[in-house]
Amino acid sequence: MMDDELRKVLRQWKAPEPSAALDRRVFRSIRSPRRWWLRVAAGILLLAGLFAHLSQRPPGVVKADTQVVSVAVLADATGFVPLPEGKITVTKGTQ
Amino acid sequence: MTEADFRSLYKQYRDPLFRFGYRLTGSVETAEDLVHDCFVGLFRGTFDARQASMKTYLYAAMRNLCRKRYRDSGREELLDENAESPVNAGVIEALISRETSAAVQLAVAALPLLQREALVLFEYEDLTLDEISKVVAADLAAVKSRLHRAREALRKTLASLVKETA
Repeated sequence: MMDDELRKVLRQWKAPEPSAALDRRVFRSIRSPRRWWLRVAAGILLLAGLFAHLSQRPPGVVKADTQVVSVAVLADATGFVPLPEGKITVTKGTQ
Repeated sequence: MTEADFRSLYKQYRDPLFRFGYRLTGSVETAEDLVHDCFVGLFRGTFDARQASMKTYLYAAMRNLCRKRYRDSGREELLDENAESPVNAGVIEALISRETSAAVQLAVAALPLLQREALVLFEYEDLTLDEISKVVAADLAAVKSRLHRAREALRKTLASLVKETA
């Protein structure tokens, strides 16, 4: 049996066609990961931008609560005579 | 690789790769899975034109995916290069009923995988011996030997069909 004869017999076995679903499957597979990565990349960029923005802002000045308190000191100075030249004389009670 | 480049390659190689996968596995579903994985791998991977032509690269990718399936399914014995093709009862039945196509399919399916892939690439996909050696990562002598063994086995199995068609 020659190769040509064998080939003639072999070629009688025809392969079927692939289904249209294969095309859809392949193109869905090659597109979806890209979209997924785009979403993740966009999210990371957004967070990074937000972080950079926040880290550059000066810290806020915290104002203390202030209250105006008026203190009135009432003193009765009637009869007060300051010591002459600040000299103090100590005397015994019996003297 | 742009999607336009990919589309062009897909259009060119979808059918040949599917046929190759189908003739290796005997299953439309499995062949479609292999073609899918092959093209997705091409799109995501880094094809280096300096190392291989697109044609041999894609056939080699299909072949490797197919071998992986065999390994995963525990059918590694079919990868044995020196294995003899068993006499398939289905082939005899097909021969008796004169269903040439079915008989050829069963006879080819009975070949060890290494012989089958060489035969399919040469007889059905019209690859040269040099291209086949690149696809199967074997030297030219090994490819010739596998092809010779495959043809011998098929001659024995399909002898009566050949006589009828001659």
